[in-house]
Amino acid sequence: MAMNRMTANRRISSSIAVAAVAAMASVALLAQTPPAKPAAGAAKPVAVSTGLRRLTEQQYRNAMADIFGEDIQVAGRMDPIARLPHELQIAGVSRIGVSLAGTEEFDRMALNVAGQVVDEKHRDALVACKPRDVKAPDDECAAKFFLRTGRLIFRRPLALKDVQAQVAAAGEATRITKDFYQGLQLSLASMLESPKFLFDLDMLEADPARPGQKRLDAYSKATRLSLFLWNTTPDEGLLTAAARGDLHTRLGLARQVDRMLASPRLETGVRAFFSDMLEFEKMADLSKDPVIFPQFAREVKADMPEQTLRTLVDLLVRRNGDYRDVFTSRETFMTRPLGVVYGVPVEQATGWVKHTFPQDSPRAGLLTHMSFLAAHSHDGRSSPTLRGKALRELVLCQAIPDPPANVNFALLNDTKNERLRTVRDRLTVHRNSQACAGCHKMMDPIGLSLENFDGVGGYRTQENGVAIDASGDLDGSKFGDPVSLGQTVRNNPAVPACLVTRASQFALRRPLSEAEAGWAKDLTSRFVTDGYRLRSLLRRIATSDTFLRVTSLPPVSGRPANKEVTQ
Amino acid sequence: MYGSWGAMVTSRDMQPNYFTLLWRRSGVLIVFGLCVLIGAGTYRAATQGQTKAFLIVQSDQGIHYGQFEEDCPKGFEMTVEEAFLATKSSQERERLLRPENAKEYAKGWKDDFITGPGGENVCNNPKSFVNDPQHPPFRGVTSKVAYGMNLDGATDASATAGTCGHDPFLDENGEPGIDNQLYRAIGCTKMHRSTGPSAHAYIRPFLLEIRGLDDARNDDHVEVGIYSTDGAPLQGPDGKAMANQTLTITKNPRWRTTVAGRIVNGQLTTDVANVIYLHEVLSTWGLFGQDYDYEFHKARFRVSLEADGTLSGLMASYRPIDNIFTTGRCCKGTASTANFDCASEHKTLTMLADGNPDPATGQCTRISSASNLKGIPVFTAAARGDLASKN
Repeated sequence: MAMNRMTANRRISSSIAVAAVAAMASVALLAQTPPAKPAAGAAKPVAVSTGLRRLTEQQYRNAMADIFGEDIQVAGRMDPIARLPHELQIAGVSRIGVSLAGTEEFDRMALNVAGQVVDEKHRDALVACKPRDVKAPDDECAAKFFLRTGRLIFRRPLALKDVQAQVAAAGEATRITKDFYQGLQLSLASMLESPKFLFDLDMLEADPARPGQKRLDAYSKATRLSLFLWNTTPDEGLLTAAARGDLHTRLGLARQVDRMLASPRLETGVRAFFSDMLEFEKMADLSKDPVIFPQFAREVKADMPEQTLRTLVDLLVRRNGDYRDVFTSRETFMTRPLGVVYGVPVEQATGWVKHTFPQDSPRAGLLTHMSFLAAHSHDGRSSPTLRGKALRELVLCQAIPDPPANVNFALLNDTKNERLRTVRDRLTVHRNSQACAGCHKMMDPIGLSLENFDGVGGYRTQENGVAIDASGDLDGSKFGDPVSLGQTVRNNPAVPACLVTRASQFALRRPLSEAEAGWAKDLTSRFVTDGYRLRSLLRRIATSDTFLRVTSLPPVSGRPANKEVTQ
Repeated sequence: MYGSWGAMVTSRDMQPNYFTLLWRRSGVLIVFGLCVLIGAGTYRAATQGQTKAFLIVQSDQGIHYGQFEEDCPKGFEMTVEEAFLATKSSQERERLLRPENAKEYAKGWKDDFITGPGGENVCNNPKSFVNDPQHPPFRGVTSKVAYGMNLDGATDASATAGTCGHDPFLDENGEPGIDNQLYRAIGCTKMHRSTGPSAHAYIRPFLLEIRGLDDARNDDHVEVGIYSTDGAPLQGPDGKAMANQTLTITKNPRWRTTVAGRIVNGQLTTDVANVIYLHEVLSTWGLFGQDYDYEFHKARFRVSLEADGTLSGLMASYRPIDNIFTTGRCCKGTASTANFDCASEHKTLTMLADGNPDPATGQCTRISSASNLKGIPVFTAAARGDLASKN
């Protein structure tokens, strides 16, 4: 029996893996070919080269939880998505391939998840029927399962031949293993590692409103909406709306978007967006010198990004607050480990509690969160330059070039210099170098106003026995402390514009084309008149023509980018 | 709610419900009674001022490291192994120490020598070895200086009410009448006169909270809470408890004690706390998760609030001899691995005990002691479900 199971596993797994690799290769090839000519008179959706985007690991995990339940564990890691300079990480989903090791990992993850779905604990809830004989194939029961589950996995109804293929695979595996549920597991696993699940490929159809032109089919629109607003796969309601054709009408689309904005899943989407915008994936590699910062414990590191995400969700989603208040709000959330660095009491022994910094506190807004201060510091000391750079790039969307290769950092690193005892002193000398001055003038005056916070974000008033001067300026606006910096940032018009740009890029999962710059500008104007409300911005993006427009491949050197597909 | 909310956490140990009840039943009398108490300086609730809380992360057994030759002129006390060898003839010693007899030798001192006829061992059951001459009492410290306080009020060797006569020490400033018989007993043992980290972590970390603090340099009345904490303190990568963390005060009133104190020139001195119990969960091999209480009788603190925000100083008290053995000397391993003869120690402690004489025999059952303390600043919070009694 055990041998049979192994044989079936090997046979099905290897055939699945071969099929998966072949399918991935064919989809990848498809992505590189020009748009396919539609068959004359055919209204059937056809895949064309409008971008092939892999699910992120979080989207994969969210999809598994939404389809099968929160208690289904996803064990494994996907190939990481590289972030290009000044881009969102999500833009990498259309660049990433699948390595051989990655394929094996998909295989393992799929088998593991499928095993949990059909195990004794879950099968009654997740497999809607019972086989007539648990040791024999039951095509009828298997078909019921794949029809329902397959629609959620592939984000669209399965074609009859697809259902038949899954049922046949389950039957073959059942005959070998003499176990209906194992047969179901192996066949289900093949779906979970199928490119149709792992990749989001736009399906186009003729646009009846614009003869000769294409539009996304309704299920592609549903996927685009759910990945943007919920960072997960479409739910039953969205797929049903797609089936009815609601997503092709303005009213139907608006209804679905409003439903999605009212859903608790919006918080998941907003968290994904800000995690990307604030580059929180880099937190995993963040380390601090334990001798200098013994308070930077494992628990502290884990709670830092979560604190900021909770703060953002609370302000922007739950309270529908003004985005600019992110930089001045004294309200946040706290855990006991974080309380150690913030130097505040935390009543609750475990979990999160709401915390309001008092009016005389030097902390207000995201720039005084540890997630900003510690992430943009060196291992053993603060860095006004890195903090200034982060503010320019992440909050204001202004690109700062990398330093020249031959910069001498010896002076900056000499924290024990008797003559230059503060980083302000050392940076002043460093900026005397003409090669450095240009960029440092854009960064340092901002970051120096955060010098009251050390390399992990703990408050201090002195550096090497010298009182810290926390004055600075941002494009001519002067301030004297971290709280005033937050106020200045709040009032900077580049701040809302940057958020709109980032949200638009996150929605499209790619950088904006030149043609789309006007759209972003219009969105910004409306964001301002809407009172800087994130919910309104997301609604405007999700219901816009640009968001659901068919475009060509993302920009690749030497090739025109993001042109609307017209045939 | 928090320790830093000084005005809100004053009545935790005053049982406000009790007072409220009394007030309702006989308000005038209570007012009169409280006035008398306040007037007499017996007890006064500190309802104003700041609260400062500390986690006591270092607490030793008050070993005073003077000149070794003066403290212990005959050297260290015998270890179990040495005591075992002392029972053998020189010929037998030589035989046992040969490599080929290592197994027999190890069994001899790590097992047979520390095990009584009923299978009991010298550390779990030291009283079983009272009449065994193979485990003689320690010689003890012979020098004159020790850490501690004058617990019995006497400056000479005479007994007072509730104590047994003994020679007191001087403290480092020459103050006479210092009672620290525990140091006298164990100050020349290798296990206790060590410099390792264990020498500084005798008592599990506990909380010391100062409430009603108006002036950290001079304050004629503050309340001092001594509490066990639920849960383990957060530690940094260096394994040390981190400052500024919030710790939950235990819900169990047994492990919460409040005593009045005063601050003079930055030094806090408390009144005598009749008894302090601190909670300990022993995780020693074979005793996983067993709960014990540390007992400190007639305890008082003398600690300084340091400029860097920490606290350092001393707690002096009488320790019940039995409690010393149930909290810090458990298990056969203390003898067979740490090479410490608990039976000899028990005899010594009994001989030198100077507190709480047994009414029937006159034999004292507690021993004066001192513990050097170091505390880091923290915040305190009430345990869940305990808020009503706290506020």
